[in-house]
Amino acid sequence: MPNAMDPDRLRRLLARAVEPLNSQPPSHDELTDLAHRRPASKRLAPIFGGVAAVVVVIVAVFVVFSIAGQGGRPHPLATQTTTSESPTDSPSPTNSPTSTATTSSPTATTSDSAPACKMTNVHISVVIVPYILGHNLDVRGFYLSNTGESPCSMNGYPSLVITQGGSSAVPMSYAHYSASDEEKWPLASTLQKHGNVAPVMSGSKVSEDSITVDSGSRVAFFLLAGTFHCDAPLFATLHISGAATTGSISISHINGFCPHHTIKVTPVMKLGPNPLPIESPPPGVKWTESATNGPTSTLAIAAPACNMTNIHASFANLGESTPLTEDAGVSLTNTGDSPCSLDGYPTLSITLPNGSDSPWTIRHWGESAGSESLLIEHMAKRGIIATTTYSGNDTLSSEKVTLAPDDSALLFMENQYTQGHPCHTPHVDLRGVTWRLSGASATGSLTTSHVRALIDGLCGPSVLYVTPVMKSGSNPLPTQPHITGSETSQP
Amino acid sequence: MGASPEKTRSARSDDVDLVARAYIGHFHELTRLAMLLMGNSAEAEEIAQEAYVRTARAHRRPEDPLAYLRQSVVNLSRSSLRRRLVARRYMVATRPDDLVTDGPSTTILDRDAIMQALHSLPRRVREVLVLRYYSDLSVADTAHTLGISTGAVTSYASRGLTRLSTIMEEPDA
Repeated sequence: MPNAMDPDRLRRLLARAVEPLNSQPPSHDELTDLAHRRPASKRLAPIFGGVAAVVVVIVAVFVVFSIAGQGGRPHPLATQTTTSESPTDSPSPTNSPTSTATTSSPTATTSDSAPACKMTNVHISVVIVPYILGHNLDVRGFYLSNTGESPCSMNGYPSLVITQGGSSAVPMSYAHYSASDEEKWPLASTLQKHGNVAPVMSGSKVSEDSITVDSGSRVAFFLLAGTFHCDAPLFATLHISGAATTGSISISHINGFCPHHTIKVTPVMKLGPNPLPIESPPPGVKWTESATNGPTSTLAIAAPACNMTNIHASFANLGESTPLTEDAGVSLTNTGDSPCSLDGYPTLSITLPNGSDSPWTIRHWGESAGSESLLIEHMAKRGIIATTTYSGNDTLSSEKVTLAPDDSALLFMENQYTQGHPCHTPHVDLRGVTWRLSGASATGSLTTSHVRALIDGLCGPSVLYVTPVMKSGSNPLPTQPHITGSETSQP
Repeated sequence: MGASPEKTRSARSDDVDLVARAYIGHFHELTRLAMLLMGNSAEAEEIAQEAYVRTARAHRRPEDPLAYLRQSVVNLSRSSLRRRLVARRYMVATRPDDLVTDGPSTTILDRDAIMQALHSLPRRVREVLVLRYYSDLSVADTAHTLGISTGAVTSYASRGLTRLSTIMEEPDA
């Protein structure tokens, strides 16, 4: 049997392992202010102050090119040698993906002579790049691959329109990487946005890119997350549109990695000056009008509402591989034969009985398109809750989650605050907790009457009853009787 | 019946003040604690600050702000690691050519053997080791922070030290 490591040796190793910290704590006033404000704006104010001028330059360059260029022009970013900026304000800029762009050549933007890419030849897939380039940035994005046999132009495609809802002060960074040919990282532009964003943020600058993609090559668009303070709920819709494209995109949404940071990607078709025939939507998909963000109108793909008879609810667990997990939730699976939308569904409400003072964090994890993406929603509730319903109406119900057959969306519940208690669930009898899953656009009933989850094990397992209920509203559905759990705690 | 709004605000302000002082006084300790639990520094600062915000906004005044902050750091690190776990799961499901997993990020993770070894341990064991041997908490304080028994702390620490010894191939292992 091996000997144990000497504790003093471990102390020395740990001390050495911790990198020197250059940063200093905020001042007392700043912290006091921070406690009463949205931390993101406070924390990132210096960063954005520092890069504001740079962003202005980027925007100006884009505008110039958007006015001057109509095709056959070089990628506007190819001339950008100093404007790309890492959102992290990193002390080691040589590690920054965007700063390396200063030496990258614009291999993907040589010409617009190629015919426009047809959406049927464009494959979209999600990319996850954790801890990129030493910045610990969690990066999500997507590739657009030319699956055709000849080069095609993505001139005008895609345009990224990020719609941020809620009252988030969370800034976002968008980087456009061209990964054509040999994955030459990166030809990038980074647009930064901060401040309260309720309506629409347009990524029209990106749409001005003209990119010819060789057969089998791809371009990548990235969303950078992880450098901002995860505080306020953030909702974002990322519209992908192309003036020269037809067909559909197979993925419905991607996500940011910050738990508060939800990014929905809604494929849209742009009716621009060079409209192409709109192909018939695939089975189970219909075209609907969506909000516009510019002179052109857009069309969005929308799957029909999920029929509740096709939605299977089951217990889901992503906690550690212990019998007493800390994360638990409900998995909603589309058991039908065609894609369906959980638009407006599910609305999650949780009732904590008996004067619980245990705050909860609700996460909405969605996965679709072969589990290639996550949709994460993070909401927190704190304070004393006595038979008060915590409704996720403002957030979850606004999601548009399209589930392909056999795909699932996950709703998670996590007990996040456990401080000061001998165990994690000191005053809450979770047996009384009810999750209400409702959907305005659903019909039928859930096939699982209730879901049992084990919430934390330090005080012994508790049973969480999930009672699917139907919501009556503008689109009232038959109300299902509540199924009241009567089981007792189980190991 | 209840306290006046002015008194409530004043008490609330005092609470925030206490937490802020604790945070400033232990900023580096808390950040490094998160760093050891997380394995990187950038996220560690975020976690430390998030811990402050949550502690400062706590409904009830924490009796021991530092302990509360420390617990928050542990919990937030735990949550963040969980998200990583989830991300990795989906990365496996994603087409290999869609992934960019090597490069400097991997180098960062590889560069320090102790960090690697530490993060090869089960989460709870890692937390115990860091709290015990980096934060120098007593067994009782570690148990309180993690919400587990002192016996469990001792057990985890023993197992962790043995496991670390094996992983790092100490001469005496």
